[in-house]
Amino acid sequence: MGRLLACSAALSACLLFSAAAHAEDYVITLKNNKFSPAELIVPAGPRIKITVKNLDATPAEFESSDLDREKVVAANSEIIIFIGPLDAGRYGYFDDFHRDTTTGTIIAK
Amino acid sequence: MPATDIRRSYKRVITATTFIVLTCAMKPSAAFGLDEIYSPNVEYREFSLEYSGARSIDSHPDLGGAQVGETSLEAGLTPRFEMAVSGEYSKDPGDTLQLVAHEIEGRYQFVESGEFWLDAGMLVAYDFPTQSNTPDALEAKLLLQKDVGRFTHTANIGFTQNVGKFSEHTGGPDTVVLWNTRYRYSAYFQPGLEIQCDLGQGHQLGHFNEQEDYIGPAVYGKLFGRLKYQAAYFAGVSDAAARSAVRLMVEYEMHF
Repeated sequence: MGRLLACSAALSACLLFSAAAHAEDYVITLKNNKFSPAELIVPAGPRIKITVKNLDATPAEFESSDLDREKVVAANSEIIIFIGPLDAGRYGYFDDFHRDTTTGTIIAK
Repeated sequence: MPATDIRRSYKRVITATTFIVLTCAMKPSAAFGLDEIYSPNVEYREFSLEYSGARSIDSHPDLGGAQVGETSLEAGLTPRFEMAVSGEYSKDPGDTLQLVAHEIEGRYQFVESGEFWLDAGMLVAYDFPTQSNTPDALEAKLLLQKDVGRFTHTANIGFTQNVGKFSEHTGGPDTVVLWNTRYRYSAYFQPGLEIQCDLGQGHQLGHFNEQEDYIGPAVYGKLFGRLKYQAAYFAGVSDAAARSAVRLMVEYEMHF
């Protein structure tokens, strides 16, 4: 049993840290309950690092089932989201606290 | 945050806490056990009320009708750490559902989701039994997750060891390996496959038919914005497993 635990921990550590790659940086800003840019164009293929800056005085939640991400952004603060590698296509996201009005799209080309 | 929103949040917390206290005061270790499969990713500033349960189905009186359940309050306290308190229920075939333990659980996310090739985290839980002459239990689970296109694969490898008073002669740790793969069709509907293997203790680890192994289709998603659900139907694939089983989880999430 001890060996199984050690092996699983070693395997996950190898997979986790051996494949760390440089991620390209992008910024999405949330102001007056609108994402900017509304459509963010990123390259298909590499891992992407997105800083989501919430300039509003209320919290938001960056959420996307296309990207499998769900993260709260406190008022006047920012979070980092890592996504990809993405296939070419359109990936929708929204602010879960204003899901009908605050939406955006990431376009991978 | 406006005062009305704060008041509403407090009201929700009080309602949720009342629900947990009442359900823990109602009824509910068992051999049968199908568990929720945990993501390593913590949801910071999320407070949720969750019910998770499973039931075995089999015409054999020793295998059919076993039931387990858990009612939890969870809170994402930091971007990497979530805590939960639960009431655990169980019933062996032919018995009535009873509260068998209170549990405190911590889940730690090792890395930012998507930053590395594999997302990883760990869950540690401690069970305080409600019945006398029953040992406490310590559970540790390695949580792994990988997104590949629209598929999300999640694996949990867990060990549960009886500890403290009454734990002598209860054997080594019970080992479980859990896996699910889901297709993220939409936020509301994500079909998938779930595998749950309770490999047992000690010598059972080497004997497939003494283990409880289940496999079956599952569906995951969100309803009405705030309600998450999981449902799975399993076929037992080893002799010790019931012919089939069902698992259901519903979670109501709020933010603070």
